[in-house]
Amino acid sequence: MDNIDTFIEKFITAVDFQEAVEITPDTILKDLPEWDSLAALGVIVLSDMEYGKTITGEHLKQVSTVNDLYQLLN
Amino acid sequence: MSVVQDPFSLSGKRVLVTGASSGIGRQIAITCSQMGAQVVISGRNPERLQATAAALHGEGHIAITADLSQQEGIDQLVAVSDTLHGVVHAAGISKLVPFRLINKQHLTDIFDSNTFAPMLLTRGLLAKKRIAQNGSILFISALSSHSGALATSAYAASKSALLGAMRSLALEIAKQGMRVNCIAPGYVHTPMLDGLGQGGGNMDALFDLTPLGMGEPEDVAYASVFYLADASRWITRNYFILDGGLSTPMDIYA
Repeated sequence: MDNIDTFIEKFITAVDFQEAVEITPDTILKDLPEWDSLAALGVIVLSDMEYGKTITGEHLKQVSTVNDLYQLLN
Repeated sequence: MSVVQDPFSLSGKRVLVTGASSGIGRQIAITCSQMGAQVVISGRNPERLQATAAALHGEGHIAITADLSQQEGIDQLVAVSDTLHGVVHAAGISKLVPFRLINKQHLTDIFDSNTFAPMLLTRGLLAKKRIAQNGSILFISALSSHSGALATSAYAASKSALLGAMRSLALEIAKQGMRVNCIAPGYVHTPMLDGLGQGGGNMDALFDLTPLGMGEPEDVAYASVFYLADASRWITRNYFILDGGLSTPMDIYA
């Protein structure tokens, strides 16, 4: 598993933010202005391709922060 | 009173159906058997394929477990197929991936299953003269091939590719009376679609847009029977959309 900083880099790539935004482990996903269904799908695919872990939209609804997401994939 | 052969019947025909272990392929196999065909079914999962075999109507059917993304699987299926009057390429896979995350592996996986396997299987069957004169070849494409749903670039491209392949192949084998067509279903209740929903797709809004609601595998199977039966003997190079009215406002041929 990547460390949290590497994970955040991959997270940023997967979501493909058009407006640069600072992401920390404490960032709350749904507070991100570009967090939408395609962004969520990007994270689901990232999880599958990079970490070999299958997650669903339901899993994503249950996590709040970027660190929660990191822990879910860990 | 003379006995008239029902042009919509599949009685006396042998039909190969790929992807018969689940979803649309499974139902096409079952419906074809109910309409009188002897079917050869193939799929990757032996248990599910046997479950389909057990649901077939009548006797004399053959079930072959094969992975058609591998040449050995194709060769195996060609070897056991006797003369076929119909072939339905229903095997396929789908995965939602935003374009920015696609890679060579993803494209290869999708195209191997959805495009290369049906083309190479057809080639193998034709090379061994396994398809009867006046036989009917049917590719199950998808509405996405034209409509390009969100995050389906690889899937949509793999299904559009079948359209071009079908049109060209149909020209080449028309002189043998063989016909080649595509059916393009919209949203149908299948394990594949359920998988997309679990994979992060928000499908409910799309279902609401379909005037007749979501389709069932039977709906695709009934259309397939028509394309396999002699009733459609003058239909080739056709791309038949079956979507409960979803795409009409899309102007998808623009």
